[in-house]
Amino acid sequence: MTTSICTVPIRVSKNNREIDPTEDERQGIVQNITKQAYWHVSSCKPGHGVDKLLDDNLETYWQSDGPQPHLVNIQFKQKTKIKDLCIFSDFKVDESYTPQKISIRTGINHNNLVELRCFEIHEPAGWVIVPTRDARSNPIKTWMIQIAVLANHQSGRDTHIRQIVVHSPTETSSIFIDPKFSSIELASHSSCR
Amino acid sequence: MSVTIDSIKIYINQFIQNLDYVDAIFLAERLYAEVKNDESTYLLARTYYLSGDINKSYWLLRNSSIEHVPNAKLLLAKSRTYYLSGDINKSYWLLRNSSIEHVPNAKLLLAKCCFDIDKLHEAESVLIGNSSSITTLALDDFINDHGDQAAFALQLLAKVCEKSDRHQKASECYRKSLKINPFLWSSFEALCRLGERVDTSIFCSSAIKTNRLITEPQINNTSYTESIKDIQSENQVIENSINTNTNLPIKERSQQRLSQTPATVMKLTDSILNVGSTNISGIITSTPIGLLSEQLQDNDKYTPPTIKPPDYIPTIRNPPLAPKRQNTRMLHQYGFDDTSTSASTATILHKHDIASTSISDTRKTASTRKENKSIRAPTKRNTRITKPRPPCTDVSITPVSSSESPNKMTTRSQVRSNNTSLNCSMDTEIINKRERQRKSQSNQRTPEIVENIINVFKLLGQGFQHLSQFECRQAIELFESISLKHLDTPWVLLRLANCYYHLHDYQKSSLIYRDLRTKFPYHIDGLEYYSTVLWHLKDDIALATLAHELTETDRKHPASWCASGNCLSLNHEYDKAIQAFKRAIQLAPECDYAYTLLGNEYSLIDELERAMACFRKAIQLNPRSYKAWNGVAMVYLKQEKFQSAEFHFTKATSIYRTNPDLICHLAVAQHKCNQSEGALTLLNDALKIDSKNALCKFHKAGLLLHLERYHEALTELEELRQIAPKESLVYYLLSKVHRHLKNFHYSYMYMSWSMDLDPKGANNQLKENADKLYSKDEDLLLGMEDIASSVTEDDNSQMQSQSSLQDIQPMDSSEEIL
Repeated sequence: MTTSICTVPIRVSKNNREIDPTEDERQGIVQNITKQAYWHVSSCKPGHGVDKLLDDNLETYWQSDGPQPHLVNIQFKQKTKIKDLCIFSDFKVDESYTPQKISIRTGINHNNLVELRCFEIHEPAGWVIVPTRDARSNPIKTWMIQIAVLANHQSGRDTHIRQIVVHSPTETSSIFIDPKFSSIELASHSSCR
Repeated sequence: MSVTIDSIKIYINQFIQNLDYVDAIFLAERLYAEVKNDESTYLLARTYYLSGDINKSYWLLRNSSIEHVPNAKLLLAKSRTYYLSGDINKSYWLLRNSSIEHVPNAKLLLAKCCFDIDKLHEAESVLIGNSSSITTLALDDFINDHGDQAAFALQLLAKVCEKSDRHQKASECYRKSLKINPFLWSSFEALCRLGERVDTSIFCSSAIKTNRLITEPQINNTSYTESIKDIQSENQVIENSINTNTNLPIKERSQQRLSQTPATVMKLTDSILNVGSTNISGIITSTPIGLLSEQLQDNDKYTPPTIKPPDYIPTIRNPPLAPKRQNTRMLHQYGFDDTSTSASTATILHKHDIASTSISDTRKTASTRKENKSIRAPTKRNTRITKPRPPCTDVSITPVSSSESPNKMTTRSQVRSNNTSLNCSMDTEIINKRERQRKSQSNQRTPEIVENIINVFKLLGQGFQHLSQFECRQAIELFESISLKHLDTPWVLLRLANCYYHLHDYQKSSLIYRDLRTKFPYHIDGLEYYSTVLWHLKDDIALATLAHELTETDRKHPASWCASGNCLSLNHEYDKAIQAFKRAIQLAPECDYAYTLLGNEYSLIDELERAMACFRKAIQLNPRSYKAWNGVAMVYLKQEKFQSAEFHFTKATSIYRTNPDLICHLAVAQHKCNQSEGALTLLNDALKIDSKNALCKFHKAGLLLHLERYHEALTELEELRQIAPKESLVYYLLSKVHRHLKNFHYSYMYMSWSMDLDPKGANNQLKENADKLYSKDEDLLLGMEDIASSVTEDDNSQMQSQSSLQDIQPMDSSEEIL
């Protein structure tokens, strides 16, 4: 695997949670494949386990309970194209538990991870959308993604992450097998519903 | 002692009549505790079920020892009542634990119970008797065995066969049952559903006259106990309900193909009374409230029989009238066991003594189907009438309008026990006189009306048959040729809209559905197709309104959940849409359309295995569902298993031969299997059927492009451009064709148009790639020696960049190279 550092800018919500990852989903640009992966965390406090990362509830969070770096591992059944990762964290609520320095690593399995990008976020207030692209700005294709929290705000030890969403681009492999028509005349004939 | 019991019974009945079930139950329980005989048991059980407490009723009867049945008919009546209440299990156990099977009517009832609780084998054995197996069954013997109920027994047998996949035998039995009684519309529909053709000339007037019906019921005043009177009254009440149903406004009528005014119905009844043939008898068409409340037992599961897509209409059994009636006029009735006219078999002629009053009442009252209130008839006599809630109509027309419906059944009135037979006969006399008067007025119209009805049967039969064979144009012709009276009924409108739906003419279909919604707002059956039509038209406002209205009208009807699912799907909320469809399936496990919708939904979000499972289930439920076959084939296409895809598309097209879209998909699959020429012929055929079909043109253009017949492809695309001017993929293809033809400017122009029309589309990747390609083209155009060596592209037409600069040949002389 070639090491490639992704340079596409990260979008961070600064005021009042203005970024919403579901917008893109609804427009059909991306698919939410969060539930199609296997999730594993390096440690967790009882009651704040990995399910709280995926429960669509921004009030519940995952809290780690071990030494840094805290890891969230996301494994897919097959090589998947990943367009971006969305992480929800709110400094005002979580303060010293808010992750500050995050490293995204990809690979085939745990032993084979290579860092894709490492970035710092400063006092986020909502969703942070992290595009995961390769050197040519295409979505990466990978078996596994690892989100490593290397440091927290105010040097906190453990971290809270409230929600993570993984997006994959919607694509047509061939416009003849599965064309996604934009106009009604064609679309209404194409799907036999 | 008996006096006391009688008076208590009167109280109980009164309580029930006044909808005071709590008191009725309590009193009945006291009576039962005091006197544990069959009557009190029966009364208590009945009170329980009327108040909706089916389970208690069941256990009561089950645990009471009914071995010494003083009166087999009483028992039969009991079990029939349970059956009507929907508690099939109780009815079944009651019959099984007693030995009244030799009573002829009991066999049918028992068989029906067995069928409804899924004991198909038993049902069959009961019907046939222990003598022979079904393969050696001579249908004529069967008919003789069952006497008057032969038609219904045959129908039931056919259903058993159909459910156990013996379609041959099933169709045989259906045909036979139609022969005996040509108005068994459900047999006709079943035959169409199985894909067979039936000669609609069976619907003729001669058949009616020769119809052998049960002899008239008679009231035997003395020898029966009061409970029998109760039963009778119930029967009457059911009939009343049927009658009143016939007279009730639109919604009810929808199921009857007669949209006759009460007046004409009355006249009809009069006239038939006049025709006065002796052999008209009273068959009570009772409804499968049974079917309704049976479902209610398992808490959330509903199978409102009505939800099956067009082909299915719940069948209604007609348990025979057990007690005979004396001293009344003949009970006239057509053998209308039409399921499509659910309970309200339109021209059922009820007993006269009810007729006049009920009719007059219905004129006064207006019932909304939604509440299904019982119409209280201000009868002159004040004896026995009430408008019981038409449980029947509910079944076919409305979705199970909530769990209260069986309870509300209780709004049947009770014949007051002190209404002795003497009063009865007096009543009937007076009513008869009135009838006679009206009869005389309407005499001349009767034969006309009957003829009309029969003709309508024929027309609708033919139309329906065409629809089942997916010969939609003919079906539309036939349906539209019906007189406006009948055309304006929900059933017919639904079928018509369905025809357009199958033709993929969604605009017209949605117009008809809208018409239907304004005229018959509570008719919810079959509206899942409307929601799909709106989905296709991407009309989210209308769809959201529809979903909202339907769920408000009836939360427990599968159609409302299908509509919600479609609405959510249109708004890209796929998970919730899936949940909604799953709920629809829960409500109607026998409905293959809900499975098809769910499968399509899974397919949209690429959960292909689940989609496959859904489609297969749909096929299992209805092997003639071309949509399910198509769905399976599309999944295979996506998984690139082209052989399987081709096979399934062939299956779909064999069911629905004239659908250009299916043929188009088949052509695509064939093309992928490297039979491009064959694919092309198929596409040409499809275009012959419908020359403006956009999908066919699109795929034909793509095919021609692949075959490198660029100019033909260009012509197709230009035509397609006229049909679908805002389709981005059309311009994409145009740009590719031009690129092949080395018209780079056009190519670039079309590509940018394509991106404009659908900037955020799912074809982004393709376009981004193509964009890069074109930027390289521009370099070429500018005369730079930079050669793009290998260009990769995602789709199947290979475009290689030219290695050397070529003379740019503009299409028009006016083009200039930058």
